[in-house]
Amino acid sequence: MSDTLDIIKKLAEKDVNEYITQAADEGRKILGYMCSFVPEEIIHAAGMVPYRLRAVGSKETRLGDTYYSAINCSLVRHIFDKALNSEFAFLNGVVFMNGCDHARRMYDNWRNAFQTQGLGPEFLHMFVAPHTTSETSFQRFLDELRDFSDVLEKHFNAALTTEALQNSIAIYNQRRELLRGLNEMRKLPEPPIFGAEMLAVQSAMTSIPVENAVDLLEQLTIELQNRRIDGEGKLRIVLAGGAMEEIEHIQMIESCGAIAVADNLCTGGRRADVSVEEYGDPIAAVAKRYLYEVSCPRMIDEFDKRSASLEKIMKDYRTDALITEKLMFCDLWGGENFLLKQESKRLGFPMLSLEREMYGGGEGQMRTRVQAFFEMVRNRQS
Amino acid sequence: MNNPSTENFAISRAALRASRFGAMLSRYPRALGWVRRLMLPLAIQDENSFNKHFRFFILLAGCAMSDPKDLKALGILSRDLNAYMENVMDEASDKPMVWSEWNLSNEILRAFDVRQYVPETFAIVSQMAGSDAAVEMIERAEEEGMAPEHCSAAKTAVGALLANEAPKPDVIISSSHPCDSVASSYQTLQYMTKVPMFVLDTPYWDDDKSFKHYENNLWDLIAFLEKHLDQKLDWDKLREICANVNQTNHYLQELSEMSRAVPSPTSVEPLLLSWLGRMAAFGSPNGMEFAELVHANARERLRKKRSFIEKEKIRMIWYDVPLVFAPLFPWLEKKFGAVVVSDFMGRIQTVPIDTSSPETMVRDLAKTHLYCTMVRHTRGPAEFYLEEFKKIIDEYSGDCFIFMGHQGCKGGWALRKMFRDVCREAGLPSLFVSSDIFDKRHVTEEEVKRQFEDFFRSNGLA
Repeated sequence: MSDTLDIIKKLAEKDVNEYITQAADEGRKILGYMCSFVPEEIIHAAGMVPYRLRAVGSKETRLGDTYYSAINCSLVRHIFDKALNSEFAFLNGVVFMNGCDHARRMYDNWRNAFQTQGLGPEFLHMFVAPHTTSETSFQRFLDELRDFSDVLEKHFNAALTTEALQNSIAIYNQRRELLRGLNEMRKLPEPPIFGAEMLAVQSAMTSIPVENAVDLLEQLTIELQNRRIDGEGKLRIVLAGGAMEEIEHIQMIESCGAIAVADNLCTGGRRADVSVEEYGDPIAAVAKRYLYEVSCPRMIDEFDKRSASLEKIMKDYRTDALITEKLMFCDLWGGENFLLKQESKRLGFPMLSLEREMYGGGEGQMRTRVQAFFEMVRNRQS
Repeated sequence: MNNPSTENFAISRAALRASRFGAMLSRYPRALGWVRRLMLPLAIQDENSFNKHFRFFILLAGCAMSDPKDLKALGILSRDLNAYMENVMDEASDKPMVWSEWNLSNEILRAFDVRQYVPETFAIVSQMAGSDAAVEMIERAEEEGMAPEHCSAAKTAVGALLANEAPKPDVIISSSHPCDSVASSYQTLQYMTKVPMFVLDTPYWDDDKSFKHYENNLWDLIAFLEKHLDQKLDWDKLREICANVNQTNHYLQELSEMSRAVPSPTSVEPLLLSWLGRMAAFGSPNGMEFAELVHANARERLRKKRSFIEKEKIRMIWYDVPLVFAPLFPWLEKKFGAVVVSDFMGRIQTVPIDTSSPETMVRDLAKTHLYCTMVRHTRGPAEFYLEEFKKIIDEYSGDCFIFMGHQGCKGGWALRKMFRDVCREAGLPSLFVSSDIFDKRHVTEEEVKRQFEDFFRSNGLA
């Protein structure tokens, strides 16, 4: 048993937690964001707490649907529904990103709701990241990071010094190292943690101040040293996809006879795998890490790198199969799934593509597909 | 993944034959006028097993232009289109083949000695071989595993490759606009063809830094092309092309503006067709001549305060896309006297290119590319759609707003409420149709027409 894991799981189940409340009480500003390309270090260095917006707890999209259509992403509709229900009233600002066509429109819709309905907060900022990794894009991204720093300094009257940024980089790297340490343990034949639990850990860490995250992860690392999950007869799988926060969904997959020992999820392992360099110009170091290492399908010139990275994960974690998770109407992951399917044929690994609406139910049908897939994998192995 | 048993370019050849026939007819505009009168009823009645094979051809051969004076212009434009298709299918050519995404303007490419192919154009061109052709390609792509929610233009491009309707590329040029779907599909095309691909990173904003970033991208593109094609860009040729582009844009921009007049002296069709011409050979003498002629004809009608149809009754502002698989505009014009006075895809609003030096050309090409139809709206914040939309409402005396929402345009659909709010404030009745530009499986022509009839009647417009 792990007390810390239980604490973290509870954190993952809700939006507002005692750590965030405490930070706000101490006068720290809470800045919401949606995409992994938004540099938490810069927000933190400006004295604020970066907080990843999630759909957790959302039961419907009734209000969100007044803005979005039925062919828009359910994650975005849930989050915006929560915003319109004032469930993010504790935020002092929101940073949007041109991650995808659905998410970037939340910048427009939120501003419209601010103007027409007084929906706060007032600080709504669009952070723009390039879609390519060329030198030209790198220079543009560097510029964007500098502009972003200036905007935060001006709007929040904050002093974003080089030293502060170096310290922020160091503590976020610490968090990444601890998460990587947990992921390393998942390579064991009997890993200490289920994939569903790990997703809870990774999600919770984005909704609390990094200082608390480091404390909790240090404690969790100690507590997991002697925890083992019986892997006998269970398939080892890797999960890949965009934003994923439905812990029950992973539990359902694992209950069919598998352990998710690795992931390449936007809200999962992809956030932790590479640290920011702690030498040289800190802004340039942040730019390098975010532009070159957070590769998701929105980056148009990097599929080969993503495929190689996934292949390495599958080898390192000795996985039997890949399950990709896609939200309906996600063009980016739709395209990625197509390519990964070709790669699965080329490299000979079994792959199942699951498509879902966020918190949209349909568990029975999904379970049947997973069971049939696992049976197929086992038959192939025997 | 290609199917070796399929004849290369089977659909493209049929489309080319139809297009050549249309071009031949357009040499005799008077005779074509009569053909148009005879054929129009066949084109605008609901699709059936007989007319589905040639409706789009009839449209391109003349039905798009309600005034016979404009028929000649179509013949001029079809020269470029035919040359484009011939080049695409010229397997004996030793010129490098470059694929270029449909939202990119291809002036720079044309200043190299290359053949070019715009993968999404196949979805339009193939309609000349019957309205089932695009659907056949879409189904090929979906059968291979391409996501159903992808834009049908993107799926058609992949399907065409699978069905041996696409030439083998040497390099590919793509961009991060206009949407996730198209951007994503180029990763697929590159994966399938295994050739070098250059991706232009499209800026979000319209400020100096953004234009500069895109300009830098264009310089990178030139370096990429020079390296992979083993050629130098011909700056004199580019200068000539840019000069033609300036002139073409001048005519088309004025044509866009002429529709402010009541009645409108021009249909939206020449502007939409110029889009096809732009993909085939933007900045060509033919494209310029086409623009000059449709401009002159419209100006003549404007001077006489004449509509391009018999009687204009309803003025529509049209956003998102036209339906390519169904000739809706001639039907709307004939049945309701309803004309499109401004639309999302056809409207030209750009800046001239300073041709005095390579630096000024690339600087201004960056701007003109970012001001291209669709690109200027989709890549940035809602204001990029809505400010132009509000201006159109103020200046074009529209009676209603039509949002022909394409399934691929998720970003446009995400602004649905804001469009409605603008219409409500302006007192403009609005119709939102869930449709697909090329995929007639999504919604039938009959259903779309029914929605129009109900909308016009319930709002007292018909």
